[in-house]
Amino acid sequence: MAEAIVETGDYHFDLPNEVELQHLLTSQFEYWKDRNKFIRDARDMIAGRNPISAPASTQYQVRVGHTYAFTSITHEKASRYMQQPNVQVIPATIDERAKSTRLEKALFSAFYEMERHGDGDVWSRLTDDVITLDMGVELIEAAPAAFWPEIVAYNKSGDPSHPMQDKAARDQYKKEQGIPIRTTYCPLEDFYPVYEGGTLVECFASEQRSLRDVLNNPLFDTSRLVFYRQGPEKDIRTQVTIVRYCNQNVYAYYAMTPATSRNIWPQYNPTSPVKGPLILLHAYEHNLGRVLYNAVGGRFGGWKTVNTRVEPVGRAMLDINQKLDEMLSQGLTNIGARYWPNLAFYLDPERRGWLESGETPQTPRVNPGDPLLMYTGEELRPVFDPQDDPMFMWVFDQLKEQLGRLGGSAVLFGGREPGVDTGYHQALMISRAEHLDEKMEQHLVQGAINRATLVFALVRSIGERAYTHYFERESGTNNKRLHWTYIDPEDLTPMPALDARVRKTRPVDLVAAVRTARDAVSDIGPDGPLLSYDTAREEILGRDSPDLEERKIRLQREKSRVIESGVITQAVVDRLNLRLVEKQRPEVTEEQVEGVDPALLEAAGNIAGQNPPGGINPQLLDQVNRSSIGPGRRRGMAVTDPQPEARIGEEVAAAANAGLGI
Amino acid sequence: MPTFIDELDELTDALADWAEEQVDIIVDALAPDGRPYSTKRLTNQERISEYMLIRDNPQSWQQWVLDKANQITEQLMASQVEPALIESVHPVDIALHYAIKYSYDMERLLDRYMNSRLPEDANA
Repeated sequence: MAEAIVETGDYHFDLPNEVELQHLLTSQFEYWKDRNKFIRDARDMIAGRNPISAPASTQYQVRVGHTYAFTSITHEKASRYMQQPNVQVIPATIDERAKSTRLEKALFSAFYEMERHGDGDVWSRLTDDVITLDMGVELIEAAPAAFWPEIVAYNKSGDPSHPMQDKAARDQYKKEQGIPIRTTYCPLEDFYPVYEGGTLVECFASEQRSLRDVLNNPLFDTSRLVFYRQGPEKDIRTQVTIVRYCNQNVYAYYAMTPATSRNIWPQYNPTSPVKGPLILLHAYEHNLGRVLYNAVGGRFGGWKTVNTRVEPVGRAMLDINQKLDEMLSQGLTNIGARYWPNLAFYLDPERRGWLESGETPQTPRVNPGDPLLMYTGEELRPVFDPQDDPMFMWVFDQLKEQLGRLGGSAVLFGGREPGVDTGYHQALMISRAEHLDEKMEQHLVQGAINRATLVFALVRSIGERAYTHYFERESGTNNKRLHWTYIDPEDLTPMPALDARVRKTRPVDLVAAVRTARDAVSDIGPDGPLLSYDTAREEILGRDSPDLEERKIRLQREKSRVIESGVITQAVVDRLNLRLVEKQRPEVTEEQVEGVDPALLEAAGNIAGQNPPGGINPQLLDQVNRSSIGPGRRRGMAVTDPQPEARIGEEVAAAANAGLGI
Repeated sequence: MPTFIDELDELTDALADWAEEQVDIIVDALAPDGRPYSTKRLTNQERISEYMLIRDNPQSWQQWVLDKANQITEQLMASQVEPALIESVHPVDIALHYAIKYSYDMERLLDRYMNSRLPEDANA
């Protein structure tokens, strides 16, 4: 008997037609409706938009307040995570260390550039959703036509429209344009995934754009939309629901058009199904074999079905926050009533008298600082007496503590909660908080790895080297130096193994990690240490690029050795002595040269002719040679005897002695 | 990006600047008239007599300059400066500068002495 062949269809890879897509979208809207209600309630609570029931008709003014306790927990947790994940590329061999360092630096720069090309701050917002809603989503897509138009544009003959001069020019162009990948944040309530056995096989995402934007987008086929045009003023105010569809091979944009002839465009609402025919605007094949959305789960693994463990916990936290808000409102109302009191006047009608109309007399006007006239027996007192209520504070504290237990606490960063008196209790709190955070961190690490894998897959599919850049500060200055790096498709086959770090190191972590690393690399016997320096740096201390760290350590050691050898000291002494000698050299002018003993000038010429060590300044020699007196000639009176009168006296005495015949 | 050698050079320059300044400060405080240590002050007559021994004699002048250059070299060698570095300051050139200044000052002193008979113990 022939076996029946069942056609399943390649729904993972084909683009469904508009009718099929309509049915699929409607079913997904219905399926995720309850999730979106929870998301709406959580977002309202975070923003302080949760309604608080209060009596409407009272003799006092009701004051409503929000504690934002849930918001503070989510913000405090979000602050522990880094702005961008730090992805580590694990080399297969020691020889690949340099390549892995390059890819790590390129990825880190690429993440920032991707966010800049998209709508910014994507990973932070994704992390917020992971913490608050147990799942965060981002779209990562390549757009070489948008970022590298001159490389990817081809004319009708199939030749490049803007041929590059050579490879160097092509690389320059790519460096200038940056990496052609962008990431965009997708709110969870706008994301409708279809999971099969834990694999995300296809998904929908909704957004709103103006009709003007849709009709003028050059990528969109708007031939079926042109008759919806209403003019420039209305086109920009009319919001169109755009539905993005993505499966493992195809990405497509649809516009949800009015269902009736009244031309009312359906407005997307996360908590109620939206109906309207879908019109395909644009589709392309990305050929990655996976969807382009990075859906990152939280503490409970994310929303793979509507039945998750996050909703009961989340609902419990929202409920406790609601009670806290109501108690706060009651407390504020009570305080307002006591400290801006209503006053009750107890008046004696016989003294005050009645009005002719039979109405009660008006209450006396009391101005600050003025005396108040009252008759004996009359009273003036506030309507509500101030009274302490210990029950109020006890209930408030209980609710706060329970909220902290469900959401984790600030103890990981040294915070001490009220009522925690002993170190043992504090250690228990830390252990509990660590356990809650660790699960979330594991999922975020996985999300970061998925993000990097998607980036690598896109670069590989583009087939071109993608350049990024980073800055390093020059040693000893405030100047930054630019370094280019790149992701090459040739480095991505096979896809490298990745790891990631998403959380900032706690101060106490580093101390413990250094102590552990020191023990791990110490010699424990004849077989040496337990771990190598590289492994300890990478895994215990969490340093990426341990080879760079080793190079820095080697350089630092050699610098110290050079300094200790006394080379610098000797160089300083040499330089100082030479400077002092040079400083003492007198200045010589032309006038001085003209006024010296000519024999000196002759001696100078003789010395110069002998080529003495160090030589003689040519300018000085030139002055000597140009001197007007020159060697052998004298200017002015020739002085040979410092005491000529004594010589005259001696001559006279000699002549006298000669005459006397002595 | 500055290299390790650039950093060392900068460091030695900075230290030498500082040390030179310290030496200047001390010398200015202790010897304001610039008279070298362990020398006695000569009278004008003594100075002229000393000068007359080398005046008009190129060989004496030559020896005077070379002796001065040797004195400078020995001073630097005593501080353990390398001979190649000593040559870089041109000791003969420095000695010649001293000789020209000395001769100029002494010729003027002689002129004044012959014209106005300065007291023998007048300072220069």
